[in-house]
Amino acid sequence: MNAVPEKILHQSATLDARVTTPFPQSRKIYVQGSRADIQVPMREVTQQSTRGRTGMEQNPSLTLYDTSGPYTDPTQEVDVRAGLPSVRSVWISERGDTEALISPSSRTTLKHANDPRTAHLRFAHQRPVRRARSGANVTQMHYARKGIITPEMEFVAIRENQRLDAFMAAHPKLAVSHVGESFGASLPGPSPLSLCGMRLRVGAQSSPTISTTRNRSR
Amino acid sequence: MIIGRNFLVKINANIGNSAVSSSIEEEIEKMAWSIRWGADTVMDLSTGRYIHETREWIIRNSPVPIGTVPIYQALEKVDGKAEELTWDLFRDTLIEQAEQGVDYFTIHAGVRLPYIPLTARRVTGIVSRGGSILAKWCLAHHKENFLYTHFAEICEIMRAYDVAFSLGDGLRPGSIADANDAAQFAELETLGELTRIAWEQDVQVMIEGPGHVPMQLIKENMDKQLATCGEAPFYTLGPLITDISPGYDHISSAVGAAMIGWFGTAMLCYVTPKEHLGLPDKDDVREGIIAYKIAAHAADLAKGHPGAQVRDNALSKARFEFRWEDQFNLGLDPERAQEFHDETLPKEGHKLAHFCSMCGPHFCSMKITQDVRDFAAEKHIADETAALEAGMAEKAREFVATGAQIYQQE
Repeated sequence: MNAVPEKILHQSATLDARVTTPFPQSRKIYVQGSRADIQVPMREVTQQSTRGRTGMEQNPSLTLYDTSGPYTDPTQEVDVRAGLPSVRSVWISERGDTEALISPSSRTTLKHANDPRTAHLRFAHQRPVRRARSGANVTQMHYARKGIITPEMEFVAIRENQRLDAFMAAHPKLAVSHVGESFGASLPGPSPLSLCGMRLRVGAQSSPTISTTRNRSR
Repeated sequence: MIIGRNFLVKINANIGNSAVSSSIEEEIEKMAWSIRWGADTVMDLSTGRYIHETREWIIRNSPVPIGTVPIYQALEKVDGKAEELTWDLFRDTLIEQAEQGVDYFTIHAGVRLPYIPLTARRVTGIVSRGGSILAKWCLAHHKENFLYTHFAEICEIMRAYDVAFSLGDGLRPGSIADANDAAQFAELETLGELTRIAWEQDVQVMIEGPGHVPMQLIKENMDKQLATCGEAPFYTLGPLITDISPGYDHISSAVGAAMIGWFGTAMLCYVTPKEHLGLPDKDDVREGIIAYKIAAHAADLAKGHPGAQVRDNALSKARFEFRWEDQFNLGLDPERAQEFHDETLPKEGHKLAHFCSMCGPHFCSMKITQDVRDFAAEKHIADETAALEAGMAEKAREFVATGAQIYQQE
């Protein structure tokens, strides 16, 4: 077998700045859930004011769906050699239905772990592998069917909602929307109202979600 | 991330090398690049000798769920000889990847032995890599697909490690001619049957879908999937709505993706401009993702997803008010928007200008409309039609007063 080419991994692994630079006028915000360790990342875009005839009109910041994690957060250091901090490990372990394995269970993993030729390619910061305790089922679907709302479910709900209820209540002009055709998908929303002769809909006037915003300071 | 037709439409980006052509850092960078532009999940389709190590690095650096196709690695383990695949070897691969932290597995358990002859008369046969591997195994042994016969055991692994199924469409059509044929829908029936088995064990399921489908046949795919698979989230590759777009398949597939997303598909797997031609580079990844962000958002808008239109409204207001920076920044690709604007009007002052190089300063429709509105406000006229009339009347008086000559002397 050929030797492993050294070029496959450099000791100084760093990312191109184009990958990590935040978008202009954007900052990472974290919306907290019902517990302090539910911190849902979003991108907030600030806007300029409108120069109108009667003076300056402020335009609100928009919250956008953001999957880029810590990569576009200048307050977080990304070290690909260390990996990202774990978001779920506490949630998983506190459910008490998993166990940490003493060693991996797969033959391939064990073979690779003991192969000196690929030692320099291995990710250094291994975490213990967790698996369901014998007979346990650890899928989110399983918890959902038992009526449990896990931190994971709350996280995705906050992410999905994007603080839009509060935004639309505060800015009804920007909340105007055409009526959609959902082909049977179940989408929440208020009843349509007629505006300017078109069938339009304005945003939900319900109270904002439980979430609050704060900057992650670290 | 949550997926389903009641939620925002999500998109997936595929990364991965086919040989040891790129370094591990490059693969991590491709992943980070994908999520920068908005991928909701990333599939690592790497092959090659260091697939195990590469995957570890990607998983530990990814903020989004990672999907894989374990049969690719299983095939590496038997040096590419599909007929030598065994359940034991595949099972070990599943556990290996589950323990690394993979979030979802594409499992081609619907490629059943009796369906393979249904592809014989196709223009493009079996185009799915996983599908062709399993078809080869089935024919070599003349036995039922081992993923199908061991499906309950796969479910046990999935529930022990919380991995979701993406039931692969190994018999998806690879051309417009083969769309919605007997092989494709026979497999879909089986995927429905497997969904029910997985759900009995509370294992989450997505159903992979086509492929290449002309527009008039797209809705049938969605309707059949909903009926057959009990509304399990549909996860489609495009579909491409024509075969004649090599080099631009991200566009032809995004058209199909927008349609099927509107009809109820939960996640759209992107296609890059290099589809059918080669491995995508960073720029191709960006093009593919933006095309699919457009498709997904267009579907959200068309469905009437609550709040989906807010961003459009804000961007349009910015555009109308010549807030150039805001227009760039609210777009899907602020960098591209600014670059294109600056190509013709590079000066900082131009970003305050009430026109762009499309029509120039004197023919900007938005500027003219704004002038009309300003005139209305000045004259306390309530609506724009009245403003236009009043403006016209004033201009007419001016015209007469200055001698009613069409061409005035300076």
